[in-house]
Amino acid sequence: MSEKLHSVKCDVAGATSLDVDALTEKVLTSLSKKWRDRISGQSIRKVVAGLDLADRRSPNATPRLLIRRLRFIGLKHLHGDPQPVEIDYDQSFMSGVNVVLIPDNLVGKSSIMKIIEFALTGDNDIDKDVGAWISDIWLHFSLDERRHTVLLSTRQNALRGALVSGDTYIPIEEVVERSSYLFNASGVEQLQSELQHFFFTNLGLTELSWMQNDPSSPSGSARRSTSWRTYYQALAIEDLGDKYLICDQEHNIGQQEIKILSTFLGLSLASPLNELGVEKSRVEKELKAERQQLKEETLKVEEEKAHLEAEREDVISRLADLERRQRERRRLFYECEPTLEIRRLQDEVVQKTTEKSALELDREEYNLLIQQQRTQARITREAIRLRLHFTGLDVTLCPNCDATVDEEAITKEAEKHHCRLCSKPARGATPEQIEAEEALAENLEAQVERLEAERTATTARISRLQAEIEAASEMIDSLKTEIDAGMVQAWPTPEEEAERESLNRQIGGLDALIQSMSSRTEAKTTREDQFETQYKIVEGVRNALEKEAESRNKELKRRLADLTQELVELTGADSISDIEITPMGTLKLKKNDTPVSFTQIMNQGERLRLKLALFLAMLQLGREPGLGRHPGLLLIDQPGSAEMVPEDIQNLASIFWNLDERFGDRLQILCFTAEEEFRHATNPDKVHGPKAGKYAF
Amino acid sequence: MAQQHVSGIVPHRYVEVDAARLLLVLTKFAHEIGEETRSLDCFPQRQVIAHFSPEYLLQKLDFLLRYPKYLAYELIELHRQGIPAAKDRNIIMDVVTLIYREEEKVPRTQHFRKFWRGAYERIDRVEAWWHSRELVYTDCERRGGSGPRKHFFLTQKGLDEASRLTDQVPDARWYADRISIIHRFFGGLKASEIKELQYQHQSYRQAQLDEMIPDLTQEEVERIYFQVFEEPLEKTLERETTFR
Repeated sequence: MSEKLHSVKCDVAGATSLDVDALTEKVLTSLSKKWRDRISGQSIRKVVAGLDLADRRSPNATPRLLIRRLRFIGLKHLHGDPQPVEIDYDQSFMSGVNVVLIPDNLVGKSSIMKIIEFALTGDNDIDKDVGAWISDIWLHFSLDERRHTVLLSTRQNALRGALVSGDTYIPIEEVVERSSYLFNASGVEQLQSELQHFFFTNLGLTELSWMQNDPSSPSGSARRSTSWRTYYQALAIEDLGDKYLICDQEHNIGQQEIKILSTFLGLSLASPLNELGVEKSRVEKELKAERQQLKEETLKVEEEKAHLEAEREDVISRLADLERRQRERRRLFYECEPTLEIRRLQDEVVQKTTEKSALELDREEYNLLIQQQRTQARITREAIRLRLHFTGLDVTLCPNCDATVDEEAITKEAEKHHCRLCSKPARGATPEQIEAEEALAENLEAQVERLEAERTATTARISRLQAEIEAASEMIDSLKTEIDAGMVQAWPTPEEEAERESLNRQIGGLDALIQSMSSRTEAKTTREDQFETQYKIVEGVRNALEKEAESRNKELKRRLADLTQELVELTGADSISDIEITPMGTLKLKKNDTPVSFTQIMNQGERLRLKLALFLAMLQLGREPGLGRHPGLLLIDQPGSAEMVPEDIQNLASIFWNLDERFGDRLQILCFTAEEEFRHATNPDKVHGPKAGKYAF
Repeated sequence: MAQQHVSGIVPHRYVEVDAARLLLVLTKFAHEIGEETRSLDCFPQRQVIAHFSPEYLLQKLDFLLRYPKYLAYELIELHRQGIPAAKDRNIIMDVVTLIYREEEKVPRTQHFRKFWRGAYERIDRVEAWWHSRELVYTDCERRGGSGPRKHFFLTQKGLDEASRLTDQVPDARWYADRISIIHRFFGGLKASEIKELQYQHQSYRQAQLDEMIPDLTQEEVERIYFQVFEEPLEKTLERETTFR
């Protein structure tokens, strides 16, 4: 941007700034207890302190923008003519209502308006076939007494623009060479930027912002601000412009219409209210997005959680099923026959082992008895045999005196059984004794036999018991083997244990996941709370400011109502019984005391008259110190339309005439029309016809 | 009380049995009569053909005859001591096995009473029985400070009778066989040596006066058998053994 040689600002004199703390306190007390518990004064103050509460108002009227002269040149190729024709359009304009009256359509009327728009804003909406041959444009305008010229050049397919003080028709190259410019721009962007800066500065306009959807932005939306082009919409009523108040639907994104009204009507605290609106919009978007995300995530988490819980239930069910199967197997194992049979057999083995042990003891006893009896029998037999053997061995000597036994003693012993030595009854082995001893021996031997038989029977019984014990033990082993197989089946297998461990691990893992999901949801809720709180703060501050603005706008509103009423009567839109503007810039209409919106007004002529009345009101307010900021210029393309009857058009022309009469010195209206009736809409010297035959140029 | 006594009652001892048994011992262990013997004061007037002394040797030999387990044990001990007569391992094993087996079949243990320090039973009745039948004459030799020493003199009739016994009475034959075993392995030992062998057994030593000397247990015999021969005794019982 070139160094500025001259600039004008609307300054701060007369601003009544709001006190930050007072406003903070006001916001805090306006909150319900629930919110006061959540929101600190500090957080409110932080928002309030970030706002520009200066409410600057200029003590002077907004500079009046007057189009004084338009000139453009170029080489135009006319249809059928190989040689281009040099066009040099040059038209002066005056204060008040100017009518560019060219009876036909498509003869360049709109192009003139668009060229003016191009020169004032940098926005080129000129028809291509027209713009293609125009090489240079000069627009002389003034802001109050300060004269300026906008120079544009499209030569060599490069757009160049410059702004100079005073009136000039020198080529732009020369201007640049002389360096006597307020700005020198190359390209559309730079041109628009420079023009915006110039007019914003000189007209005291501010950027009002809004959040607009932008898929390329990480957050999905981007901040947009009003540009000079935006505000220019309040300076022009285009063809068929009765269908909307200020902005058509395409250009009303971000409620630009309200912002235009706020600015040009000079509503108090429009800028901070706009900032708060943008912030509210942003937080709302964030909150909505957060809630949506939270909702989606909660849904997703809930779905996942439900899925995990279902999975957990399934795992628990599988674990329960596993345990049930094992329980059943154990039950069968304990109640089955082999187990009972083993117990019975074990009892039998114990009983028979005990019996066998007792029999073995008996057998030992038998052995001993047999031994003893046999010994005794042997001894007895031995004695018998030896005694019998020795019966033939006679006693021949006396062992005491060694005397030989005489024959008489031997005879006596044989006859009377008296001892041949001592004559006492002999105690030798008599046949009876022998017989008794033999009987004893036999008895003993018989006893031995009996004992042996009993021992044999006992041994047999022991053997039989042993066999039975072995058979039972074998059976036990066999059953145990069978049961082991059954036991293996009854008791948890290694695979089952592994499965149990795995299932328990899964349950543990699932529990942890489910718990973590709950935590995630809780964490998200905190962020939502933060956005809600921020939204509440912004809303609270905005409400407080709106009330303050409402209070400050009273004078303005009253003046607007008066002006509008006057102009409504002037324009014939007298069915509008009330016009009110909110601090936010929303226009409220009442038709026959019934609230109505602009687009709800069905009659085209009525809409046009109302629009005109509103525009004129803005123009008027702008002429009054400390009130509006409209620069007092209005361009109207084709006022009325083909749908309007000639009488309406005449009425309209009369309206313009009256406007010119009453306000001609303080505002400028440029009408571009083909309607002959508009010849009477203003003074004849302000009716401008075509410059090239039936064509405008 | 020894096991083999029925109902714990010691059987009646018949003099004929003791006389026959001891006669067979004397017959086996008596020596020819030498001049020293003939010069004894107690040498009998009648014809005798063999001589045996002292009485306690007869008692010790009778002990071995009447306690087969002791006999088996002592045989193993003789082998372990390396006594020449018992040097042959296999013979000793066979003899011990035989004794063990016979004992298992019919226990032959006849308990001895203990008198002071060893097995001793009075044989007065036996001596009288022998004398009255002119089989063996006994008399004591006075030896001044030392106690009297009994001498046994065997007659031809006694020798013949011993022979007749072994021929006609199976029991006597058994005794004769067993006495032969004793004679073979213990015949070269002194009486004191035989006494000492018996005295090394605790049960023998600890038996009270006039009490029946308890027999060795099978386990004691089996233990020493295994210690000396490194084979369990029951294995060798599988072998057919006869020994004369």
